[in-house]
Amino acid sequence: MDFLATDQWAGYVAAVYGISAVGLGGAVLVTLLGWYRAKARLAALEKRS
Amino acid sequence: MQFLFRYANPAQFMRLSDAALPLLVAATLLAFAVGLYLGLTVPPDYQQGDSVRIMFLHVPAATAATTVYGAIAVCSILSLVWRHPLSDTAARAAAPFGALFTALGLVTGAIWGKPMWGTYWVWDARLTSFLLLLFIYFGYMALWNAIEDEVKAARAAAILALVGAVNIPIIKFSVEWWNTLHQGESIVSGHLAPVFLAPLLVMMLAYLLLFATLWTVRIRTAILERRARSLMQGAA
Repeated sequence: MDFLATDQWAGYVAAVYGISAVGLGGAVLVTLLGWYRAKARLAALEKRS
Repeated sequence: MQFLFRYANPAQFMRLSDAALPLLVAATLLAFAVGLYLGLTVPPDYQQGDSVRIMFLHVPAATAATTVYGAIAVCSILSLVWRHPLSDTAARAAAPFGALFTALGLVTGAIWGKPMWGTYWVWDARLTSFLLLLFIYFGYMALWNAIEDEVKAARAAAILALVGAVNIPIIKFSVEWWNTLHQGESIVSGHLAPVFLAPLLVMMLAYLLLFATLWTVRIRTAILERRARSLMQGAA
């Protein structure tokens, strides 16, 4: 695993990959939660009407 | 133009996006897997060492940030000129992702700047115009939430989006128009070593595919929310 043997800038590289993973992962999570919430709400309203 | 109206009304959009989403998800995952593998296994740069790997996340985030704004601007034109039924929803749905990509571009750029420039931040034209893009995104989202009447909010937000679009060419050409610490364009000009080009292009594709996927889901969510609102109004 050559790519794990980074040089003196490993901390900067790891920080960038970590922050990007959190940011993009968070966007995926929030988007999916919003979708499932909207779907459940609409289903409940349709059932009621 | 007729094509846009025929295939982008809410009902058609739900049908088409239902079929397209699995393909988009698969393409996004594949592009990220290939891009990350290439980006993490490419040899270190002779000057920047391993910090060159930051480029494979910084440049795609910055490219996605301006591309998303371009998409919002196109949707705004469609809304203002042709009153396209889905364009306001699409523009509003894209904005949070644009803001996220802009923030990621700024943060990853700042972290890359420290080992390369010796500082996290300078007020040069590229960095400042990019920071302005983040504020425009915030303003755009705030405007949508500030006006209760959705038609009026859509119109005001579309005008703001088109005014703010002036900043996009400024970001693009800032490194040519002014003396900046930020490096100039290096992909089209051929200054980037070919070994770094493939991972960079794949990661740019991955970010754009991720945006397309999330944008589609968010538009679908907005359509469901609109249906729920109209059901509630009908019941009231």
